[in-house]
Amino acid sequence: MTMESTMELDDLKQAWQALDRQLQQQKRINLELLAETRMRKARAGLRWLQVLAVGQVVVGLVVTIFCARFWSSHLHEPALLLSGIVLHAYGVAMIVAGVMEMLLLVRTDYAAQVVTIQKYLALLRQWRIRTRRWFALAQWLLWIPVTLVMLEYLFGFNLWAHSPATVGGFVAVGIVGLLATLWLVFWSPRALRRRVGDYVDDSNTGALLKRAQASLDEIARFERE
Amino acid sequence: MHASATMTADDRQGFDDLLLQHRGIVFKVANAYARSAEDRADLAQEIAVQLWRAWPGYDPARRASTWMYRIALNVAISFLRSDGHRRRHVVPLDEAVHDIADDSAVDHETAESLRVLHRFIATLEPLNRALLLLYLDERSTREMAEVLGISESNVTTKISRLKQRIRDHVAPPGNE
Repeated sequence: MTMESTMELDDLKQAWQALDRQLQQQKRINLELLAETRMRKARAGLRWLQVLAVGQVVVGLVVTIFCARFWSSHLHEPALLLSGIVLHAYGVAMIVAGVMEMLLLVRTDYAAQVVTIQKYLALLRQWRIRTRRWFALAQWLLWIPVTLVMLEYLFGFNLWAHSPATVGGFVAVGIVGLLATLWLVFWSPRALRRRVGDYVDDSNTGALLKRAQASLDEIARFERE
Repeated sequence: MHASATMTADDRQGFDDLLLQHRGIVFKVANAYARSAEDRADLAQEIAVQLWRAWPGYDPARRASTWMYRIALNVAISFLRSDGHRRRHVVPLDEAVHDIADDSAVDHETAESLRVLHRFIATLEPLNRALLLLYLDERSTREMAEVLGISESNVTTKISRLKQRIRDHVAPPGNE
């Protein structure tokens, strides 16, 4: 039995070497030339993604600084103070997400050991998917502090002080929207999720997360003897 | 980081020579990880691009094949896991295998062995596929461990498991 399997493996090795010889003679693909053209295109694409990530960090910084100044000057107006702090936290989250995105784009050293770099990529992929999901969900509520802060900042109008019921209505709408989206994403029947998913752009998030987790599990299994 | 912008003519020549000398690694990895001819060409180019980007960091004192294998396998595994690639080119396995092994340059028996081998490769997880590829290429246990980032004893264990999987999977090609 062992002899037989060794024979098989040797045959496969020989076949592999035959393929190697054949590939060595392959002149169809001029790697050097193609790589040069592709490199230019890839670099342009990468530059664009880097600009987006840097833009996100810059916007995050602006939001953070603006909100820090805003809430520190409204310490005695609870609604505005809370709105400023929430947006401040959002600005910090934007910075962190932007930096992580830049790490993903720039710091991937493919010359590192395969297990190390694949684990790093799978973790970043998982982190990126989760972040996008939570950023998207947060929009249901974030527009409320944005409205409060901008009304105060631009027009000196404290909506909460004038009409708390309106703000309460905003919060109710936000919570209903958030719960409806959560239901759609996590608990709705699969067919409905898939149909509506195209519009919500979250249809694949669950599958992508599962795939990223499966990659991490596979790497962990591979590392174990 | 951006190699070609800062590369001197000597650097460029050095890179081209290395790529020419070890291009087999690029093609073999592309063949093991992509099914359609289009995907294989795509992957081979992507590997070449990443080799080029990593070239300024290459240490000539270290083995070139180890460096190339790391980059090629990392790119190939990422390519396999990328969502866009899956959606673009879904090729039935038999057609893909035929595409690879179909040629007059090898005899019938070798072509058949290649088909069997590619069918087996297609059943493997990306990391085991990398290990098999290194094994078929007759790399030392030490180099396999260096490329993959696992211990030498783990490499040995996994290879014996792969042999078992091959035994379960592959029918002996011709009983002479």
